[in-house]
Amino acid sequence: MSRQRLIITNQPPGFRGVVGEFWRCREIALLLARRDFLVRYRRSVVGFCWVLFKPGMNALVLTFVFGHLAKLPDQGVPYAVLVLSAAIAWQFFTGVLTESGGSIVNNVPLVTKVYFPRMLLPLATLPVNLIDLLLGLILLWLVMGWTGFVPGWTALLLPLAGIPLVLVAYGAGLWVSALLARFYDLKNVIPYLLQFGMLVSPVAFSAALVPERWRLVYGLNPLVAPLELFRWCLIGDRYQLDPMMVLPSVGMGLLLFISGVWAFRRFEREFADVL
Amino acid sequence: MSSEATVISACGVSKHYRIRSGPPISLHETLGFWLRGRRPRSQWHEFCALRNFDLTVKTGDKLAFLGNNGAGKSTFLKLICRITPPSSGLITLHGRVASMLEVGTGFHPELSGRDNIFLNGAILGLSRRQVLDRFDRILAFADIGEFADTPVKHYSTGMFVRLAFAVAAHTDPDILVIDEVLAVGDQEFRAKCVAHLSGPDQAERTMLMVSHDQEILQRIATRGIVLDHGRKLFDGPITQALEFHRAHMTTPPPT
Repeated sequence: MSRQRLIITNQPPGFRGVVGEFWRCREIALLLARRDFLVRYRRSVVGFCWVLFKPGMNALVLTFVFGHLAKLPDQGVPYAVLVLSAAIAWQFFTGVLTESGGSIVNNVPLVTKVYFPRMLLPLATLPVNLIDLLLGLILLWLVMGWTGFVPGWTALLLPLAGIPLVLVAYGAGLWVSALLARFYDLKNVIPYLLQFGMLVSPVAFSAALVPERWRLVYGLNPLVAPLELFRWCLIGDRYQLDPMMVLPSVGMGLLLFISGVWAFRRFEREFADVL
Repeated sequence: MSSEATVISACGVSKHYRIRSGPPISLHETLGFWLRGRRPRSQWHEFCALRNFDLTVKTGDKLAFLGNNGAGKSTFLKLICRITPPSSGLITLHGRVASMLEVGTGFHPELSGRDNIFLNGAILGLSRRQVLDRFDRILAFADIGEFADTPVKHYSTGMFVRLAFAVAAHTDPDILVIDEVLAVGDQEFRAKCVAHLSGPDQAERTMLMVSHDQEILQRIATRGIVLDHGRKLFDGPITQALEFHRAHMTTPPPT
């Protein structure tokens, strides 16, 4: 009879062990996601409508303020389409970030009473938000139909554009969940950071608005790449995409993800002791 | 594998906790420490929950940890379950560990009994396949009948506890860790749990348990370890361990 052998010391386990364990426990992440999904709509009457409410309202207000009042350039695309195509991606990011933030502190019994890779807790917020994202796409297509906008072939590349979005969201989620477990008062800062983030990221406007010489600096925002790629896929190749901005932003996104894993691993061993 | 094989060996294991007097530390304070470049050491003191602890456990051993509150019993179980890392020392485990440190961990009130069985089973280390294989046995043991598809928030406390225990009792790990959970349910159900844990099919299973109920320990455990302030005072057959514990503890354990 072969039995797994495990050595426990005060050193964190090696990287290979972590990946293997992650794979063995993948079912936990799916079941946790399923739990969150079932619980989310069990008590609401209008159910899925809430999912469309937030990005829908966002897009409505932003279209009015930035498109009609400020009259920002729209690259020949209906402003509502321009805003909504990025707003649903932004909604995914904020959803993952806020739910990850609570994923450790709201599951204290799990963290202090059983062992499984803690990184699964923020990971389990991804599937639910992906479903919301798909529903957002339906809303976007309705708006496109209403404004008579025809999307380009690039829509087929959308799953690829989703990869940087998921990496950035999970990376940020890891940071926030680890930090919130340790410093719970950070919770009060997150709404402001998200508000600020929405204004400095290309949600309400196209990144093509940024002057040439500032584009490299603007590309340091890890959200520029996922949002602009999303927009490019949904609108088509007539949408201007500047690689000078997107490439550094992809790099920053990767950095955010890797540092998130690092930070989470550094903090996770304390979780049971500080909670 | 012979029945005399070692499943757990702990060598010089210690666990310290840093305790701070006063309110919990906030971000504001931590930033203050960083800016000043140091922590005010005076407010911290080390609390030693487990001190240089050695232990060897063979397959099929049923170990009971005895000692007053704060002796380090639960701390050791937490180390075995990898909930918290040791401060120093080395523990080697052979086999899969399942923990019953609390009944119903991860149960969600809005989910049905069925959904909770799958979620809880996964958390305790079972695959979907394994849960399916055990599903009928779990329902039968919990005796919740037609309520399998009812959200557990509508369960009575007794039903909830029975279901939670049933899942944990059917995980079939090599090493089962039980902390104080045998005090659940009514008399009848408790007797059923004890009978389950001391049954003939559990002979190969290694168990580590903490309980203040001496009668239960006498029935399930074969070996007792007495701890006091993080140190091992006695290690031997359960009957002698219980006697040693009674004789050496100034304050009797609550029953």
